Amino acid sequence: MNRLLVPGTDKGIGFDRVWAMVEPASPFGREEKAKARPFLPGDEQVLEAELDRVEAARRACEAAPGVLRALQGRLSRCRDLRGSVLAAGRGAVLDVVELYELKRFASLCRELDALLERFPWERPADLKLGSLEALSRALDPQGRGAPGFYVDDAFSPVLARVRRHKRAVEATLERERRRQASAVAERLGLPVDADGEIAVSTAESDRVRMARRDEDLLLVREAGGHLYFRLRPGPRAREAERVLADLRERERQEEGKVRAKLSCAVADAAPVLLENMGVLGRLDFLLARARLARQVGGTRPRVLPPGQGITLQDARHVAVEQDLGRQGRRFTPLTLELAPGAAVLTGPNMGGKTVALQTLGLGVAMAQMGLLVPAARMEWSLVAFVYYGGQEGQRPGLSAFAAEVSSLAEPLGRRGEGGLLLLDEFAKGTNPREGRALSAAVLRCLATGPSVCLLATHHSGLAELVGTPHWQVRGLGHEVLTQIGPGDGVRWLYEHMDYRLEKVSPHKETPHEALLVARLLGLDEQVLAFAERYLGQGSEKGEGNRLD
Amino acid sequence: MEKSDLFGLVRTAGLGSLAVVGTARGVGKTSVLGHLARRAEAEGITLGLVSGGREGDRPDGEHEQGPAVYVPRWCLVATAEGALGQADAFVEVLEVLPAAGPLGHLVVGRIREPGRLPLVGPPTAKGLQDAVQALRHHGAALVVVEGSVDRVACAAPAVTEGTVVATGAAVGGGVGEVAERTRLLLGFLGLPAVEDPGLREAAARALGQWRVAVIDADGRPRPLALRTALGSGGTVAEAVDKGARALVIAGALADGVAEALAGLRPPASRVLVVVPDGTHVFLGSRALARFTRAGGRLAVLHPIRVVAVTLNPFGPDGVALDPEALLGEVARAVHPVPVFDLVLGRALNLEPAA
Repeated sequence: MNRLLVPGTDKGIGFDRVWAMVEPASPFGREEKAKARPFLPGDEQVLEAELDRVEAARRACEAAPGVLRALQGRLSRCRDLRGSVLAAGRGAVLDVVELYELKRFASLCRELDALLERFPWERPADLKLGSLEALSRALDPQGRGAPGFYVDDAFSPVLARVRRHKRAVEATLERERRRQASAVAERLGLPVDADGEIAVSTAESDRVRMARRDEDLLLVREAGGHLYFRLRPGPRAREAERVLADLRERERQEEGKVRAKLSCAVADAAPVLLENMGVLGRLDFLLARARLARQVGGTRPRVLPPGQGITLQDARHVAVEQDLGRQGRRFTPLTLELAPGAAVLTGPNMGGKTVALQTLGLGVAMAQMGLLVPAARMEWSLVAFVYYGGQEGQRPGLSAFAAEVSSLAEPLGRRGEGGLLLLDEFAKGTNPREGRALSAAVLRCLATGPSVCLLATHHSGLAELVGTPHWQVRGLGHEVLTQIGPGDGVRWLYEHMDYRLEKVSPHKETPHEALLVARLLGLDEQVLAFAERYLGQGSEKGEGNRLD
Repeated sequence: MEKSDLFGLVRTAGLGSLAVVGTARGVGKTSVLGHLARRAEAEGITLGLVSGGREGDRPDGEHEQGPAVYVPRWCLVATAEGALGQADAFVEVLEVLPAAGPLGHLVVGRIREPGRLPLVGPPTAKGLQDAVQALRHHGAALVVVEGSVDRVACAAPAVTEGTVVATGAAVGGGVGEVAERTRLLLGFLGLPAVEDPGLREAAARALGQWRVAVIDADGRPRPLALRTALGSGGTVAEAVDKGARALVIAGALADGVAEALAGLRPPASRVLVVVPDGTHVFLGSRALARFTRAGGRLAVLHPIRVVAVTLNPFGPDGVALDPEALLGEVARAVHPVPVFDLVLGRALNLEPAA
């Protein structure tokens, strides 16, 4: 991505917000997303194929939303098990939780494969899941199909024998304990608790004497007016405990051997396991892009041969559209056609020039990241880079002007590669006379050559001066201006501004509605009155805001 | 049911989940768990065990390790992945839950070969709620949540249906202090529900939206721009002073707010403070006394059912209290809640109050 978007452009055009809306459900999908790189000039055919895939996936999602949900649900349950798989490959013995997870992953793969068969699309060859049946059988030798995992007796006859023996000894020991406890309880007339302890009040001297003499009891502590005795295991019980300890150790060893064998089965299946995790990553990332396309009403853009510019019809900026939606406002779709070379965009303040530049940049960035675009139609020749030079992202210690000029250095130097340069009120931070000259000079440099440049400006006559196409925000028509009333504010502006772009004559004047917009935004009336007076004086002297 | 049978009492109460919380460290929560596990095994009832969450690292930098408890065959457990490796019990892994702490994800399993197993709980209340549900889902007739040290959050009705409070010599001081501390905790846990249905609804709505709010006399909520009431006693008292039927607090109610409210003039000082449940109240006995003397009252949206108190007359460092005296004193302090001494096998308050 870094190779397509010049630093700062990501945020400047709002691509970061849109990219965050691509949300894979699995760790594999998130990794695939993190690895995603843009398609650059020369990648036309690969990008076409990728866009076809996304479009096909989008159609399938629309046709079978239930299958999509089921796919998503299973993908979200995937855990990244590569650590375990690789460890098994190195000869490590996996623990029961890892074996459980792998068993579950094998069955998830089976379920996902069945779901993908039901998905109404021609499944791409690289989204076929390898079979993990051998591993599934190894992890469930009796084919019970139970979802849990346990190294039970079916895995090893030795383990089964050891456990049978262990249980028999445990039962003997328990019988022996109970026998001893009830004998002691009867002798002393006091209950033995579940831990094998008995409490005798020191006030009962006969009982205390009996308990102290009792071969089956051991005094453990004295507190709060009571003596606490514990059952002393007899010779049979001690022998049983010794045998039991041996058997537990053997059980642990045998269980470990079974896990070692199963870990070998995992190592054998490692290539398929890892490949399947890769497949799931690609599938998940593809579905995430298809879902975004559904969410934003994306269409498949058409890739043009090199050097043909960019055409957008009814394009929307999805992040701005969301923000407007929250305010109860609607986004006005933009239509724009740019050939290689430079063009000028003019319009009133608050007329959406910045959003127009951002929408253009976003459309190209989305398309070249393999996303369907929020536009009725988009055709474009791949660009080598996208640069947005706006007011955001100033570096500390630099003036707005310095930041702008220094950030333009790199993309301007690369203009021969065929990039997209979006310049938002270039050189606004210096004196209007020189700013206008600098803008004209940049336009001149970009007027020929493979790059596409759109420069938004308030300077008049730039298009005419350099001889570039001129686009303009329709803005506030004269008829609308007559309707403005005393109580109207910014809301009025939102309602009456025509944000659509139209291609106009290079000679067409830049709109002069700054004072009007300032008034609607509530600027102090006295300030406005002075401004009107100064504007009048300037016009008389032939200056005004025409500073040529 | 035997007279001293805590397990029988819990079963008779018909609870599906039970929190075991303590008044201090070392009051015998683990013994209570052991008792319940053994009795469940003897009666063929499937028990689910989970720890009520670790509250992070100890001051010495070590991570708090749950005590290993003996778990019988077929018992269900939820514990951190890393704890399974330290168990001598063998576990069938049934599910791995999303909640993860320093020792890995929470694993729900069934004990296939009994032995000891460290219980390491999920780090969040939501994780605990999920764990309780998962244990029930996998077939536990009764899920027992062992509260972590000094924490009672697992007693919240959103997590468990009933609570056992363990107390004992480890609280410190004599029999009287133990009884008093236990009475105080039970007083909070057992706080009554808001009686007035209209106020109850208004409080529930306010708690769903804001962290701290005042309910006006006409039932209208007035939210305070606070993330927590902690450390904002003055602001809260000022809002209450303007006239309030109730003050609702979604987070913790601590001494500062109670003292500030107690400092108001009547009738403002006679405010009703509503919290979601008794686990949100963290008042010392002095602050509580001032608050109630000034006429303040406490109520909850979701009352907690405290089914029993258990005693451990032994404290750390060999300190021990007279078990008979402790049983009698605590039983009087928490009457009518039944009190069990599992070591002596004795119980009091089992008969309904005369």
